[in-house]
Amino acid sequence: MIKVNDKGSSVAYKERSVVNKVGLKIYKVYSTFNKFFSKIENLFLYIAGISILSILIAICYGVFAREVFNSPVLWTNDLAGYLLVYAVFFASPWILKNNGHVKVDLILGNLQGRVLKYVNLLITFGSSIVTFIFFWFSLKVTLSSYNRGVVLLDNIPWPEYLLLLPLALGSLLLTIRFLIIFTNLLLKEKVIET
Amino acid sequence: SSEETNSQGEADASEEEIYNIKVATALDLTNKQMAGFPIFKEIIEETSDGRIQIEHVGGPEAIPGFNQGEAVSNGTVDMSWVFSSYYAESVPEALVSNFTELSYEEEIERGSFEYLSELHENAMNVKVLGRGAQGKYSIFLNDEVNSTEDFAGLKIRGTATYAPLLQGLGADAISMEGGEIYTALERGMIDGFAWANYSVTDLGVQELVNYQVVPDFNTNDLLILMNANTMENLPEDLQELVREAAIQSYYEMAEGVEKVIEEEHASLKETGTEFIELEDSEKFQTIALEQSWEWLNTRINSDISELEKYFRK
Amino acid sequence: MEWWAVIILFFVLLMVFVMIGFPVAFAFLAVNMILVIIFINFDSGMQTLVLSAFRSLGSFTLTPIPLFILMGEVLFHSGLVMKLLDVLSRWMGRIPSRLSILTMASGTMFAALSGSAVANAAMLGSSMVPEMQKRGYHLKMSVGPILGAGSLATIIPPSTTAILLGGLGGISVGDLLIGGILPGLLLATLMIVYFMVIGAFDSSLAPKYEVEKSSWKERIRGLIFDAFPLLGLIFLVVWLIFSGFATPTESAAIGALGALILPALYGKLNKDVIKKTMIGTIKVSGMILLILAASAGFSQLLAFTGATSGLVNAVLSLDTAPILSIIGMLLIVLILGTFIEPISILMITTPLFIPVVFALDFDLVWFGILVLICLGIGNITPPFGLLLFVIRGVLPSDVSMKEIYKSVMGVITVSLCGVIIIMVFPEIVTWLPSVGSE
Ligand code: NA
Ligand code: NA
Repeated sequence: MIKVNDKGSSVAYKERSVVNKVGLKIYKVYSTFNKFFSKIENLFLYIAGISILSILIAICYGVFAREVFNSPVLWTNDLAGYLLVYAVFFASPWILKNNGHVKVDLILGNLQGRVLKYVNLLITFGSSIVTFIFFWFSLKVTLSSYNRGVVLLDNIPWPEYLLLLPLALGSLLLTIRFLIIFTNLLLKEKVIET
Repeated sequence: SSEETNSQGEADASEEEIYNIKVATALDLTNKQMAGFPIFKEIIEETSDGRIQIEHVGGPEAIPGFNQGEAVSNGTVDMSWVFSSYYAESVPEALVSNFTELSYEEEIERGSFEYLSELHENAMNVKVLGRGAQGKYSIFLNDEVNSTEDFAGLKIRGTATYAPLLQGLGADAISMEGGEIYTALERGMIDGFAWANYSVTDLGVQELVNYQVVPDFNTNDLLILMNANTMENLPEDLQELVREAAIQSYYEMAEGVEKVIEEEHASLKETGTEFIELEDSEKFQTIALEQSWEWLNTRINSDISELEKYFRK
Repeated sequence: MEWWAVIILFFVLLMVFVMIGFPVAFAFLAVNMILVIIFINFDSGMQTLVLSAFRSLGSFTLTPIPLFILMGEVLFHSGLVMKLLDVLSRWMGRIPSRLSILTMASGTMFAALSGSAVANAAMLGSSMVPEMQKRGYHLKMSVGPILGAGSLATIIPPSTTAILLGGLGGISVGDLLIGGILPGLLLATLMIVYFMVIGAFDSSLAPKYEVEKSSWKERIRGLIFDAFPLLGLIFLVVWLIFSGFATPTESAAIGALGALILPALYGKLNKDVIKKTMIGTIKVSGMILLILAASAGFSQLLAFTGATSGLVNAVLSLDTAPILSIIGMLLIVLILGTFIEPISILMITTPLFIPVVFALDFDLVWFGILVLICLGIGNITPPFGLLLFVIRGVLPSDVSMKEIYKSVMGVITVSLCGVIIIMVFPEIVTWLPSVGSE
C-alpha cells in the first residue's frame, strides 16, 4: 500500500509545548537552517520546472523547424534528454520534503508510537547514507570528466561535466534533506520530553 | 581482476596463478560483428593453458554500450569489444579508426595502434589491443538515389561515425539507438540508416530496406580495449599472449567476413533489396574521407598531423 | 553463485528495503550499492552506477513522460476535462446503470488524456461518487466503474507506464502506445456491458431516476465547444504517433502544447492553474524518473551476474508449453501488483521477463500490453492495490475497506476475461501497429 500525502514531513513545532531550554536552542538553529534550506530547494524546484517547459519548447521547435521551415535541427533531442536529468535531480529534494517519493508502507502503516519512530529514524538515516554515497561518486565522476575536459560528440558539443553535475547537486541536497528529517524526528522527542 | 589460487611452491608460483578476465561486448554475441570475440577467447584459453580465463559478462544489457569505455577505464570490466564512437567523448582521437586510409597490416607496421593506445592510456587508463572486427560501413535506403546529389534532405539515422559523411551529402543525420531503427523505418520517420556493411540482417530490417548504396565507406571502428592496470598485472609472457591473440583473432574473424557479406547480400536480394552503384562513387568516397578528417580536426585535443602520420597514406 | 541464488539474493535484498518502508528509489539505490560491493567492487562499480543513472535519463525514450503528465495535469486543473463529463451526461438517455456507464465512458476518454491511473481514478471518484450516492447506487456500481475506468489509463495511450516499459524492455514505445488502443477499448466495452447487464437484472443496484432533460441546442453546443476540442487533441496525439509523422516524444510535446493552448482559449489558463499543473507534473514525473534512474543499475547487474541468461536458459529448457511461461510471468506481475505499485514492478520484472519472452519468440508488444493490463488489475486488487486507497479517500468515511474489496471483484473478473481474450487473439494488440506501418 502506498500513501502519497501532501503534508510536509516537518512537523509544525509552533503548536507544541516546549519545555527544555537546550532543546529549544537546538530547535531554533534547526528551524533557521530548515527555512534557509527550503529556499534552496524551492530554487531548484523552479529550475526543474523551467527545464520541463524548455523540453516542451525545444521539442516543439524541432518539429516546426523540420515540418514547417523544412530545415531540421538536430540538437533539440539531445537538449531534451539532458534537461530531463536536471529536472529529475533538481526536483527530487523538494519532492522528498513534500513526502512525494513513493514507498510501500505495508509494515509502516501498521506501526505506532516508539517502534514507528525508530523505523522512521532507521529509514531516514539509511537513506541519507545511501544518497551521500551516491553524491560522493557522482561528484567524483563529474570532477573526473571536468579534469579530462570531456566534451560530448552530439550535435552541440556539450561539456559532459555540466550534464553530470545535477546528479551530484541533487543527491547532496537529498542527503541534507534526509538529515533534516532525521534531526526533526530526534528533536521532536528531545524538545518535548526532557 | 586477477585472482590467486593456492600456490604450491615459490618457484612455480607464477605458473599456478589463474587470471580471470571479465569482458563486455558492445553488441550481443549473436551479432556477426562480434564474431572475433569467441575466437579470441578460444585462442587465449588454449595458448595460456588455462592460466587466463575469459569471462563474458554480457552485452549492452549488462553494461550499456555507451558506458563500456568508462567501465573498462574504472575497472568494472577488464576488457571490452566496443565501437570507438561509443566512448569517443573521452578520447575523440579514437574516431580515427573509422577514418583511416590504411589497411590493418599497414597500421600494425606503422605502429599506429601503439600511438592510439598511448592516447587512450593518457586519457582513460585503457590500452587499445587493436581492431575487433573487419568491415566497412554502408548506407541503406528506402528511396532510390543515383548520385551524391540525391541525398540532400534525406533523413538518415547515424551516430558520430557517420555524421561527417551525412552532413557532407546534405542529408539530415538523425541519432537513435540501433534497436529503434526498425520502427523508425517502418513508420517512415527515417528514409534510411547507416550501419556496418554486414550484420544488417541481425537488425531484422531486411524486408524494409529497398536499396543498399554502393560503395561502402570508412572502416569498422570496433576496437578491443583493456584496462591498463589489468594488463600490467599480467606476467610479461601472458601480456604478449593477449596482444597476439587480439591480432590473430581479428584475422581469423576477417576470413569469415567475406562469406558473411556474400550470404547476407544473397538474403538481402531475396527480400528485394537492390544494390545501387552511385554515378559519382569516387566523389562519395572523397566526401566521406575529407569531411571525416575535417570534422575530426575540430574535435580532437591533440595534433592532427600526428594522427595523419599514423592513419593517412 | 548459481543464477537462481543470485536472483533470490537480488529480490530478498530489495524486498527487505522496500518492505521496511524505504522510498522505492532509495531502496533500489541501497540494493544496487550492496550488489556492486558483492559482484564488482565498490569504487568502480559505484562510478558505473552513476553513469547508468545519467544515461538512463538522458536517453530520448523517456522524454514523453513529463510531457504527457503535463498534458493531463493542465487539462484537469483547468477544469476542461470535467466539461467532457457534462457533455456525455447530456447526451446519455435513460439507460440501465446510467451513472456507471457514464463513469465508464468518460473514464475511458479521460484515460486517453491522462497517463496516470491514480489521477484518473481520483478525478472520477471525486466527481461521480456524490451523485451516485445521492441516487442510491450500490457500491458495486460506483466503485467498480471508477476503478475499472481508472486502471484503463495505463493501457489506453498516453500511458506513462507504457513508455517506461518500452524504454526498459527495448520495445518500440510507439507500437506499445498504439497497441494499447484496441485492448483498452475492449476492456472498456466488456465493463460497460457487464454493468448494463447486472444493472438491468437487479434494478436495486442502480435505481432509475428522472434525468434532467437538456435541449438539443445545449447538447450540440456542448458537443462542439466542450467535447470536440478535447477529442480533437486525443486524436491528434494518437494520429501523430500512428502515422509516424512524429516520434512519441514529439507527439507528447505537441499534445502538451495543445493542452496549454486550449484552456488559454477558454480563458481558463491563470496563474493558479499553471502553478498546480507544474507542481503536479514535477512531483509525479520526478518521482517516477528518480526510481528509474536509481534502479538503472539493477537490471544491468542482473545481466552482469549471469542471472538473466541463467533464467532464460532455464525457461527455454522447460518441457512445458511456452504459453505457460507467459502465464506464469503474468501471474507474478498480478501478485506483485496487489502490494507494490506498478512502476517498481516494471523495474523488477522487465529485465528478467523481456529476454525470456524474446527467446520464446512471442510478440513483445503483445506481451507488454498484457503486462500493462495485469498491472492495472493488480492496482485494484485487494488488499493493497493502490487505487483502492485512492477511492477510499473520496468515499464517505463509514464505507469499510471490506465493502470496497467486495465491490471491485466484478471488475477484476471482467478484466481477467479481457486478458484471456487478448491471449487467445493477439491480433487485438498487433493489428493496429501493423496497419500504422503500411
Ligand atoms: Na500509470
Ligand atoms: Na492513458
